[in-house]
Amino acid sequence: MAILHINALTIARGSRPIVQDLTWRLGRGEIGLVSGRNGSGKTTLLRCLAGLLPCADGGFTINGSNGQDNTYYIGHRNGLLGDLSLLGNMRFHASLLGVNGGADACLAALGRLGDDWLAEGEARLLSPAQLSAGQQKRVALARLGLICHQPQRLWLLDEPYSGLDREGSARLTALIAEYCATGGSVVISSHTAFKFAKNIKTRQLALAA
Amino acid sequence: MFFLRGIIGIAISDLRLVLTKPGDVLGGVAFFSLIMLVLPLVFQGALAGAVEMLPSLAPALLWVAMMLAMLPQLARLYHTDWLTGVWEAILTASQPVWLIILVRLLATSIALLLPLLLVAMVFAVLFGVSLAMLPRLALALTIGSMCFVFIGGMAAALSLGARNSQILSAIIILPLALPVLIFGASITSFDPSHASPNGAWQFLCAEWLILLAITPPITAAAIGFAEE
Repeated sequence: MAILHINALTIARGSRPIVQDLTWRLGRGEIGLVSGRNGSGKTTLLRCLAGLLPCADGGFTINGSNGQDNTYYIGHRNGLLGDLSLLGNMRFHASLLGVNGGADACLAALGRLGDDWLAEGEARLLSPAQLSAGQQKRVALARLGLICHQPQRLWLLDEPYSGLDREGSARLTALIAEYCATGGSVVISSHTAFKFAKNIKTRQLALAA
Repeated sequence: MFFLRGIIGIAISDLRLVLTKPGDVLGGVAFFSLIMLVLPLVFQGALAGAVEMLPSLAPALLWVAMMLAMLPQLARLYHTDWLTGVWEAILTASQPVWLIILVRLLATSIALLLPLLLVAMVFAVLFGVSLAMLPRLALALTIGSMCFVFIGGMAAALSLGARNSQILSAIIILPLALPVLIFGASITSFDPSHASPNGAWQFLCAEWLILLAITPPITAAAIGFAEE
């Protein structure tokens, strides 16, 4: 059963169409890999699916409707509040998502993407401004750990692997694999090809420039 | 269940955010004090006998200083979060955006208002405003300052991403802030011959309620457009 139906979708910037007449579908438990050259509209497509950009023509449904509650978008920008601690950030995002924002749940989610640089005490003391770019990216992606038990959401990840080291990438891949195993679906835009476990079905979408 | 808890969580985050930046609030207090110290000196230099008029001038000065101290701090209310993608996350989240904005405006009001109000009361006493007048002055300044927060926040959102955002902000702020100043000064007028302040109270409260109703949806729409 498909979670995402894109139907003759056109997205425009002003009068210039970026994505034109796109039809595509993604099933439950599948990973959609969106590829294409710079400027081919990968980010535009993901932002449109997240409800941040309007459709110029055509449309899409996620879980049968087009409500925003059905997606979770993490873009190039990390969405972290520089003046709050890492734990405070996780709590803020848990509140936004309407999920359990208790310290245990937040620390567990951080731990999924973090490493020994992220002991519990540090999560309370460190703020995003004190982290490196790759570490910030990990904290941003750790938000996924808060909702990895809600497979009804379609994750929209824009270049999630950029800036992550090998170990961080492996952790992210494991998280995505776990999400798909429970029936969740993920759309990932990326330039680099990467391998997921064989039992996860991936579906390619190549956008023309 | 998580809905209410989520909104409370956001409110706590917002208050924490404000509290981590005491410098901003203290900067407003310093600017406020500067205006309140300089204006009487200038008046005294320009006009003999201005010092005797201070008790009746003080409320009007307080209103002007309050507005000038608050508005610059509001100009960047949404800017950093817009650059870092926090608004992206908020717009795509499960909670209603207008409610999140309302929560942030109220948290900002509390954080900006309390210290300024305290200092304003000190200046009112120093300038010879009668003690019986203070509660009314405090209440009117509280409502008026909340209006300033809403107006400044709305202008900040509407000019988000605009090239000449400061000019745009000024154009948005001026017509909305003037009635607050005029009715506020009229409510707190010291002059017994002045008309009863009841009408001014009603106008001030009416503007506050209107702003309370329209600012969150307008701000949400403005940020949505800025994200496009």
